[in-house]
Amino acid sequence: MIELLKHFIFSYNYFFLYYFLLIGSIYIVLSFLAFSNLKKYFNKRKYKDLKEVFRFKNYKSISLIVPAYNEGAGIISSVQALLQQEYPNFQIIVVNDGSTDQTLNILKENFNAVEIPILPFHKISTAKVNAVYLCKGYKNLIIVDKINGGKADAINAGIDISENELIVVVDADSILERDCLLKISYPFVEDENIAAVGGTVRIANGCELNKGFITKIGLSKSWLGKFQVVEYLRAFVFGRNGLESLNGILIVSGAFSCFRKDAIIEVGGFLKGCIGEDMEIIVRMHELLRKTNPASKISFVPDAICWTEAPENLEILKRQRKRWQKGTIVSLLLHKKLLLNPRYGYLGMLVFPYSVLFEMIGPLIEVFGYIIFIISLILGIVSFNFAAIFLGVAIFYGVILSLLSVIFEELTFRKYPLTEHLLEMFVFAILENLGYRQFTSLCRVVGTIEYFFGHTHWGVMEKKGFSQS
Amino acid sequence: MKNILLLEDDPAITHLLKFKLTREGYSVSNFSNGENAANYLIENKTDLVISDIMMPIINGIALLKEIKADKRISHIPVILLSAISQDELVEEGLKAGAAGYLTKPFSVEELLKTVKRLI
Amino acid sequence: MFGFHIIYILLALFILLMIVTFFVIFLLITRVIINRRQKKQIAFENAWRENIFEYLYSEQEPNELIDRIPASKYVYLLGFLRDFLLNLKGNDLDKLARLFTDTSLKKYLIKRAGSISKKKKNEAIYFLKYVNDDSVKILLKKFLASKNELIFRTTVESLSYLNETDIIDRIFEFFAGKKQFNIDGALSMLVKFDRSICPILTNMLGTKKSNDILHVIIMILRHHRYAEAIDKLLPIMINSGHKDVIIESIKYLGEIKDPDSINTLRYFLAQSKPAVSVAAIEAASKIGHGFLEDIIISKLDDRNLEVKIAAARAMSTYSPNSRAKLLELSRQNSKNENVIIAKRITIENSILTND
Repeated sequence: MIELLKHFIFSYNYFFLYYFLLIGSIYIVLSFLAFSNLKKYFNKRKYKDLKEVFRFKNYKSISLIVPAYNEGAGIISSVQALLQQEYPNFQIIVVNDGSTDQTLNILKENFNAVEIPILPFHKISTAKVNAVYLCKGYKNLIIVDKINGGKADAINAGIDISENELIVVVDADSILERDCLLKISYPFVEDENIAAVGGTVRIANGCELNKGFITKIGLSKSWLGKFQVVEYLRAFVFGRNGLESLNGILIVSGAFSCFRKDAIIEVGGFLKGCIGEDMEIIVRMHELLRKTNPASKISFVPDAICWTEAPENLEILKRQRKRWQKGTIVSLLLHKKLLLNPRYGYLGMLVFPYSVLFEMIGPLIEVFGYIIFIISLILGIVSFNFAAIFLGVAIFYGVILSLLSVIFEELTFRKYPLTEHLLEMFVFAILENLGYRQFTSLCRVVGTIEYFFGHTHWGVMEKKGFSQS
Repeated sequence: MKNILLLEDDPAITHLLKFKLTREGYSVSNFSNGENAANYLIENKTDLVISDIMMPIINGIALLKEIKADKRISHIPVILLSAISQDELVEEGLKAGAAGYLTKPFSVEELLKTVKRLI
Repeated sequence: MFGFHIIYILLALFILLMIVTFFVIFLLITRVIINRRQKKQIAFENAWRENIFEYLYSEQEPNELIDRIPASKYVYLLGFLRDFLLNLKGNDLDKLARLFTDTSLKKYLIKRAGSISKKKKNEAIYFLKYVNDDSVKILLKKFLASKNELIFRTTVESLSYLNETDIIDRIFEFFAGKKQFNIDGALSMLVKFDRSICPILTNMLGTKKSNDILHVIIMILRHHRYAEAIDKLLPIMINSGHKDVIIESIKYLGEIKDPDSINTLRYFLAQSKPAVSVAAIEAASKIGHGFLEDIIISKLDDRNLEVKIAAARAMSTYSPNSRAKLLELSRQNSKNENVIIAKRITIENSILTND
């Protein structure tokens, strides 16, 4: 019996080693794919004059929906900043999702809200809408007040009253650059098969802000912040986005994304009460839209950048990662018919299984693997050679990947002007693999366990505030 | 010498307009946004404002309304210069009291003619 | 035995260190190169800005300016001129165009367009559109055959800037060859031509074209408000069973504001498809003249809510009578749908117009 156990432990170590090699290699391939995609994109963008849509009037009208729950502190400056977007035709719909603070009153007072009758017309059903307000002096601002229903429900309420062609969803604390609407709407201008487009999310911690816009880009002062900067580059910018060329993007960030309104209505709107509603709707769009129109595509725009605050406290980070993991599980399980389904091309045959294996089950394999490895070492089941190789691969590959991401960042976006920051990112790219990554995997494991044993609820992220200049 | 205030966030256009207006004999000050424009106009004798519409912090038309609402500076003519060519916005600008509205791409000669006509 | 393992570990660490060092050096070099390029651009602009503006202000010949700028700096010149080329028209634009047409800049661009590097080629093709020369037009048309999508698109953009309408068929071919015809894609390309594209597109209306192509053609005609196409368009509208073509044609009628199209609109207003009704109501509202007042008011009682709302909106501007009716309805105290819609439209209008 003991022999069997020892044998199992021994084999698992090798399995784990191969798992690491595999996932590392896949990520490296994805990174190169993303990099080549980005290079192509930036070459195209260099001689593309986005503002021509003003002249030729072939832009698409936008409804920018801002779901707000207890955002009293920053909502005014957020909305004022959003009003300064450079775009020929857009409206902002702030949806107060039953806030328990003064969010609604602050909005009403500041923007001279006037209540208007609610039209008896619903394309998507939502929790009860109490009132709709237009704003005197702000022709393109609408405020919706409704009973609390969660983020997905709030977005749906906004979609319901929109009469424009595109829906942009933005978090109340996201900071957009002034030309973000121009950039994120552009794919829709040139191709009606595009159903949704994601923006790029970057970490605002350490950046200077003035009146709702970033004035100076900086690196977060805290270790946790710095780790996340590198992690975002590795996992979200270069990892996930390598899937774009396979039409395999499974998630566009809830902090900043754009959808064709008709497409959202066709698939039934966001799923109310769903954790990870941003991933769920994308997976659902792939499933439903590609059935009737195989050319349907989900894309992303690398230079439509949304700056967002990342948690700088272990507890909040933990809650965030647990929530993300549960969201991933929900989305994958709800749409399991995509798994290994040839009708969905690369998405069904490659990306979906990859997500199930490496994103959903992966953290479990990983954490279990570390535990087994330590046990093996203590019991002397594995040789020192193996231990060295194991550590080497586990960490080495990760380090190479993180370093590659920093280099790709410099070769494409070049958002960090100070060379010290770049070098710091380098250092943290290495350090990231010596504890931080393992910590996030642990959070994901806890999230997975909590999900399957019925513990799903939203955590509330504490607002720390930005450094005002 | 007549003074002109130029509000434009495109640095290239700003440079060109400053050059040409100065050559034509005007004195030009410029900001890249309208935040301090109203105060500047109150404190410094200005004969004309040329303003873009889509600028950070304060929209050109909102600034125009601010100027027209203040008796001390409401007499100053304002020319709007913008990429937006939507009829509704042009109408709104003229209704709010703009002395002229030029859409980009614009002709500098036309702008100069309008400037000469107004001051 | 143990010592042997330490060597392995040290070796591994050493390799890692080498790789990291290599990456760091690579990164720093890239940064230095790019920073230098940026500095050079700024230096060029600071050095030559006055001279270029002087050229625009005076009667100087283009060669007098270009001959003084070394060819190695042409890249920075192009970068500097770009913003002006986009934002100016009239005299200044003509003078800038002469910089491209009458000087060695032209040869430079033509040579660069033959470059193997896709980036350089793309850049050259982008700027060649400012060269007013038939030989350049011929050169650009050769690039239309490129298999590279970026080159093809930039070439189309340049040729559309030059209003070379004989490439229109090629544009339609390009999209027809894809899995799915891309209406917005074709529209994006065609919208860059000026009005001279309209007679050609109108002629195409006569020939048998797919619904998607018809859709695009009508959108362009509407964009340019080309009223002369109405005779060819009316029979297509009436005989087409394709919803998008019909709606687009109705929008066209609203845009050209031809009072004679009232009867056609009347025909479509009688249709039951909601999307068609809505389009017809909006078009009637744009044309004005008041002849369709009765139908529009009656549409307020349509079963479909979108039609009702469109009718109410139209009523608020169509005629004094319809305005009065809407106002009267909005003052009623009832939960009836029409009353709520009337109230909503009335309040909306008062908030949005009075400020």
